[in-house]
Amino acid sequence: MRVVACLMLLVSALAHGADASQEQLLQRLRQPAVLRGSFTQERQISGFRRPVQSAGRFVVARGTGLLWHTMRPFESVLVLNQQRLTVSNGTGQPGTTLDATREPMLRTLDELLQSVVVADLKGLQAQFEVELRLPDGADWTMTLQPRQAALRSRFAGIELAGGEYVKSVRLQEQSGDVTTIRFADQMEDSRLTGAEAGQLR
Amino acid sequence: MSPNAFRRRRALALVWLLVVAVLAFHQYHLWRAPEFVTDVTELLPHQQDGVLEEATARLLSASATQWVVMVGSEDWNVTQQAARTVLETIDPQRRRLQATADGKVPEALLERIRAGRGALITRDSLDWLKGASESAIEQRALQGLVQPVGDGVSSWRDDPLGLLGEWVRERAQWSRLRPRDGWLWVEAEGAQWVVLPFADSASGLSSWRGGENSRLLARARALVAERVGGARIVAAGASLQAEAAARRAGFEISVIGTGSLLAVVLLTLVTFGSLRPILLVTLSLGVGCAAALSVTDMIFGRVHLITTVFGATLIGVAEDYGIHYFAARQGTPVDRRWDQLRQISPGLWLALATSAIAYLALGLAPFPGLRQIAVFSCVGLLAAFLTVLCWFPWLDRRALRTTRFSEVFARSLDRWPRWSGGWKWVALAIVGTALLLPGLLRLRSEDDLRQLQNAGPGLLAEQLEAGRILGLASPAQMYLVSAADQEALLQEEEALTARLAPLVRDGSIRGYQAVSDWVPSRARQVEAAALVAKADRVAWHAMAVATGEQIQLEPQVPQLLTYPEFEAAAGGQLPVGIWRDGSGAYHSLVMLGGVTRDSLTELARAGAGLTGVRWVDNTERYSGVLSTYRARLSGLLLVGVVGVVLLLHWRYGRRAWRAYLPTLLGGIVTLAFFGWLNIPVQIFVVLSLILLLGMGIDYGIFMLEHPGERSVWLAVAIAGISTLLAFGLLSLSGTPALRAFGLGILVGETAIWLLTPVFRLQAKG
Repeated sequence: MRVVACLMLLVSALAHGADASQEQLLQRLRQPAVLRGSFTQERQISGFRRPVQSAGRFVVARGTGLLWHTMRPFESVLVLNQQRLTVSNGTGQPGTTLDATREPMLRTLDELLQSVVVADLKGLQAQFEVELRLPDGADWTMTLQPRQAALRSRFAGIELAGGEYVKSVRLQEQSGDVTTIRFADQMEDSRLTGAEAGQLR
Repeated sequence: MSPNAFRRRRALALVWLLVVAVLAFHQYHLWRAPEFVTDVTELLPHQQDGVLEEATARLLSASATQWVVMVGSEDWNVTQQAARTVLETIDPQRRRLQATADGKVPEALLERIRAGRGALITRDSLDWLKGASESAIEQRALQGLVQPVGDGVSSWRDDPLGLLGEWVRERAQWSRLRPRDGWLWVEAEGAQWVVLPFADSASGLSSWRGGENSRLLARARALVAERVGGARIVAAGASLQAEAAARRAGFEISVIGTGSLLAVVLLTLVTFGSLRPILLVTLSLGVGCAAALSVTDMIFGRVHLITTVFGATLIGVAEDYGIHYFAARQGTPVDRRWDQLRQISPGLWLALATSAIAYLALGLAPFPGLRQIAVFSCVGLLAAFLTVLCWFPWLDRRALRTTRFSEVFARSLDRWPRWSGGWKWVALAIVGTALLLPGLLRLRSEDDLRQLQNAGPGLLAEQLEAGRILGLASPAQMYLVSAADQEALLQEEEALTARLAPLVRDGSIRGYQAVSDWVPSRARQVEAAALVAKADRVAWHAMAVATGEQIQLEPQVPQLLTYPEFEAAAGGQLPVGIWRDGSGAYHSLVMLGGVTRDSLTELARAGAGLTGVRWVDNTERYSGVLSTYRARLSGLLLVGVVGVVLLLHWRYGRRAWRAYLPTLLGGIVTLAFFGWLNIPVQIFVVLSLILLLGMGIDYGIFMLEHPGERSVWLAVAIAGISTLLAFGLLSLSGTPALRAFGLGILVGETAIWLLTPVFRLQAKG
């Protein structure tokens, strides 16, 4: 599956993790029930000169799941909830679906997502060694080292940076591909819209 | 006593002493490291089919030392807490805990698989690629491109459609276990399970003393029940079953053994009112049992547990000779003992011979287990008898009084009803027939291997549950695939799995495991490689158009994966793999998961028409074996009945019916009893009838040989009661087959015991 393990990181990026100085970090972090925003993504594929650019919007809902809606260069919608992960091209055609009963990793991912959205960093720390840097001011950066060999064999390094919210994530894969995601326009909300809830159901 | 006779008797006693000394020496070595076989299938006839036998052996050895404990509850935290308790109890040092079953493809194998990129794709991918339009391929490739990261198996550049990643993921599906918080985790039926797989160093299948794992498991169960409410524990594994079987057998042996011995001691005590007969009869039993065990061990190499459980009934049969000796001795001068022994010994030889013939008839069936039982029993009887013959007059040097009990009992023969042919008897016969007939009409037969299973129903149920939760392939049904070379074998497997795939889709079975899942045939790898190369070009072009990248990529030529390479890199990924037999042919097993009774016909049909594929239904095969031999032994029983009837007619002429009728009636009563209680007749019931014929006829013979002689009646009656008790105790066995056997003998013997004096001759004079 293309997506599961990385989403775990992405999701953690959307809300972040910490260690000894996590109290300080927690104070700077917001813990909304629903967080919406836009993202731009640059994927540098090894052997290619130019990175692949894409952009879109995302929604994270605590206790429900994640919507990752790529709008440029073309439509792609990724939905993750407790039951399944679906990737479709946004034209209404059925896309690829992974069922949590066949791929139990999804369940783990979803639990991690929830713990992250509510800034329950225990979930993150179970999977990663977290090195946190808190320079003066509101901003912070952190480096995540996967604890499990399975994740380590895939990621050479993961870096997050943020302030009130996560601003960027950099994922360096063992295969040589590097992805940088920048987040912007974060908006908090107390609930999902009807359409979003429908997609996440 | 003439000096010659004295010397001969002394020589015999000394020779027997020498034999017993040798036995004692052998017993000492045997019990220092006792090893008994518990595997049920070893009781069955050896398969004529060498390949199938090899397949079974490989399958068994793959799982022999492994066992698994599963801890589950609705709440993951409770589950983890219980799992910690279990692990701390069973394996605090983590020496036996295995961590390899999480479905992760080993790194060494992954390296080799990456070199095969392009050739290794799933069947679904292959089907999709065959029909996919260029735009569909472009779509899929670009979808992958905008995902935040790749699949961890290949860079997008090397595998733009993520086909190898998908293949690897499908391979990981062989195990439903996934890592979670440092545990192996599976979710099933709404519960969160932690799975703790253990492996022992030595084979557990034949270990008798072991029992360690079961003890630890029992303690873990108790601790979890005490400390963590609401968590369930399910344990499974061949070694646990073997331990349970051994423990149970040990218990049954001691119950039957002690029970029979106690009965013999008590009967001897009240009949003879002296300690000497008890000690001597026990001595003869001890020598008999030791000889039985030693000789069986020497002949077969290893003794099966079921043999020993059955053998415990020997105590109730082998005491006959000693009791006959003392019954003859009772109330007669002590110096006549040699003469008396000489007088009764022809009768005893005859009784020994008929019992031995009956036991040996059991051994005619080609069941190794039954042959052991036959040898065990014959040797035990002979040794007990020889002990009486060679030693008893030497050791028994004092007078033996008649007791009140023996007098009263001996006189009871006079009051016993006797068949006179009057109208009362005819009416009784009609009533008896009316009672027996419906029972006989209700009889049904059943041939199920589980009859021989003695691990207990609880563990068996847990085994099934564990298999269901873990999605394990069943060892009961499988396909045996054979071909002249490996490529042909893999192609044959693929032809089969192509037929199985629809059955998985429609839910008839849950899945299958084949070698070709991991190592597709060369033909298929070549086909896949061509399709993938074409699709990759389309994908790269789409990427160039979408991003403006100008790059020329050429598909990499995949390095086709071969079975030897896979074997070298994977080592034990598959339970059995491919093997080569003596004639140079190659074989493999395609295992199935989630087989139900309803899917059996479909599965058998799926294998039909493929030359190298053989559908193997072990449950049915074993039932077939049991049913065949049930029929053959029934035939043997009829031949035996005819033989006995002819023999008795030759010896006793028109009076012969008095000797055999009680036994024949006893057999019919037994069958009617099984019919009434709705217990199916299986091979062991037939065997009990054979043994009844051999032992029951003895009583008739004795009564006919010495009409109205009270001391004979006493010996016959006392011996009969102890035999009854021994087999009655066998009917308490946890092994259904032994239980049926014991019950058959119990009912039949009781009937024979009661009926034999009814048909006695009028005492002379």
